[in-house]
Amino acid sequence: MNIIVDNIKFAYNGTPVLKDLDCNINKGELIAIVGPNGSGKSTLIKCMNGILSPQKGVVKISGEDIKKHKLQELAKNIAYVPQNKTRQTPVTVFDTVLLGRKPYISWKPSENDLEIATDIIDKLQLNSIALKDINKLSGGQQQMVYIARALAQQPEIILLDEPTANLDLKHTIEIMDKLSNLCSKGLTVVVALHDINLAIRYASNIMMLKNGKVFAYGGKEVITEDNLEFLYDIKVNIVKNDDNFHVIPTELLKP
Amino acid sequence: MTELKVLKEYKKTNKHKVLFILSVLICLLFLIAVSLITGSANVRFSDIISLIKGEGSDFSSQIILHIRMPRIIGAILAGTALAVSGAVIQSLLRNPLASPFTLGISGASAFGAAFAIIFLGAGSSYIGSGDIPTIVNPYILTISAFLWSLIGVFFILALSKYKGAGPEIIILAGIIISSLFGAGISAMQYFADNVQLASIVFWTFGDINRATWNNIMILIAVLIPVIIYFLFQTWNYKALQSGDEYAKSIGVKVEKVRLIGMIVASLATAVVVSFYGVIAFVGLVVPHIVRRIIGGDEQFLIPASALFGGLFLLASDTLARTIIAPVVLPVGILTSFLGAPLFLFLLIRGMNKSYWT
Repeated sequence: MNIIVDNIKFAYNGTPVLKDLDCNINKGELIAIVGPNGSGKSTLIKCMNGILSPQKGVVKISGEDIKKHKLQELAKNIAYVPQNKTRQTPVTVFDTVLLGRKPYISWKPSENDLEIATDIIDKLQLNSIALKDINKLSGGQQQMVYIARALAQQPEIILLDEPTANLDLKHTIEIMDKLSNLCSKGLTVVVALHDINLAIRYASNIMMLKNGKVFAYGGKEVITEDNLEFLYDIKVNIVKNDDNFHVIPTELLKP
Repeated sequence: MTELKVLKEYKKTNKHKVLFILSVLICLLFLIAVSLITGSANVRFSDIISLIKGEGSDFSSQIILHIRMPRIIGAILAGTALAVSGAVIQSLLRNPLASPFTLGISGASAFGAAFAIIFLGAGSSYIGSGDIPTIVNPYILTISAFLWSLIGVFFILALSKYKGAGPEIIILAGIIISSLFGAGISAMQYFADNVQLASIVFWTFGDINRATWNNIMILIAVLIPVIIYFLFQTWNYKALQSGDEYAKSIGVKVEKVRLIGMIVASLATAVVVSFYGVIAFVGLVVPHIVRRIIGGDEQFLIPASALFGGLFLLASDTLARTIIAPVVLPVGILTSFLGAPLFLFLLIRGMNKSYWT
């Protein structure tokens, strides 16, 4: 399932956030959206799954305008892992993952829904915490549970808004490895990231957003010192190491 | 834990929740029996059996069928309506301090009652030797209370439509409504004569003594579809707990679900308040107690709160009838007395726990 974002415009209370933005995302790709705060990363993700409706332009999934689909039908194909986790009443990990089956549940979950939730909990190695209150878990564990909840939707596309924010290195790598693994199984993954080095390491393509527009979009070749300086208003060094390279920020361009 | 064991354990915890609901139901049935034989007039359990067999004496039949039974059923229905509305409103607004009265329903109803007493001739008169005023025209008063509570609800809905039905907007709109109607009541009280003033104050005490078979039938007719509607919405309410944006991403029409939920909960509350006056704390405390016992899963919270609300108000009313017998206290006074320390206890106990973190 591919995503086509065609010339969309979105403004919050008259303040434009996305300006005539275009992009194509192919099936099985892991796309990292990078850019400074306020560049429109989260808004773009929310436009892709119908949470927000762009004032102009269309978002197409497999060639069809998402507005033609009911929210519930869309939810069977696109899963979303939000950036801000709302504080909530005590709820177990199992119930949280089962909530991902919501698009398929009308009155109560079927045996099949329960089995799918159990299976995903097992695959993501969450068995030992399955009946614990999600509020009592570490940030890394919680994030893994939210990814499990997204997978319970059995989607073809998964959108994640800064899933590694506030995570330690181990959990960051664990989450990104998992996403990369899902991608290799044919899932399309779109992830907003702040860490350029993670984007370089994991993404098949990197989308650079600045002021609501795609400024550069492509493979690792878009990671240049000039592009990053323009994107973040900082000076960077790119250190090459065999096949890999790393970005090291050095100083502010505009203090 | 293996995959199979996780599912087994999950089903086991759900079974415990069902068991809790069943035990509340059993306690409720037991309390009905106790309540039937409790009171100033001497009615024994054997009188109830005789009545069921069709052999009861006129006196005991009168007491059971026309005094105690309507009161018991009225208390259960009112408690159920208030508690289930409270549970739903807390979920819809993701706010533990929300209750049916957060929306200003009690203030609007009380305003409607005062309006009927002063301007519509629902009036009042002192009867007998006691000083308790009696409402001359209870139907006009009830209809006025109900209509004004709907006006309050529609104000909130109009504001939500204009500014978006976010939890904060709805709570703020409720505060506005409450203070506006509070000012209206004060103004009417200032210009009322002594008897009218006494009637207004008396009406605001929630009292199940006003239960009749007629208003019980109306309550049943409202409450059955309300509870069925809520039970069908439990998964939508569960989704809302994870935030509006996430809920939308899994197919929930967030604003529609929240607005309709608020209207339905308000309707159930408005009917109860119009008939029986303001019964505080049931809608706030009962869902909290239930959440402590079986957790916040709306699938179980909603039916459990409905039953526990009935049990709580029947217990309170039975106590109100007997605590300083033969004087019968309005149950609203007792629920406030019981509710405040109970709520404080839950609050202090919850401080060290991740409760509504």
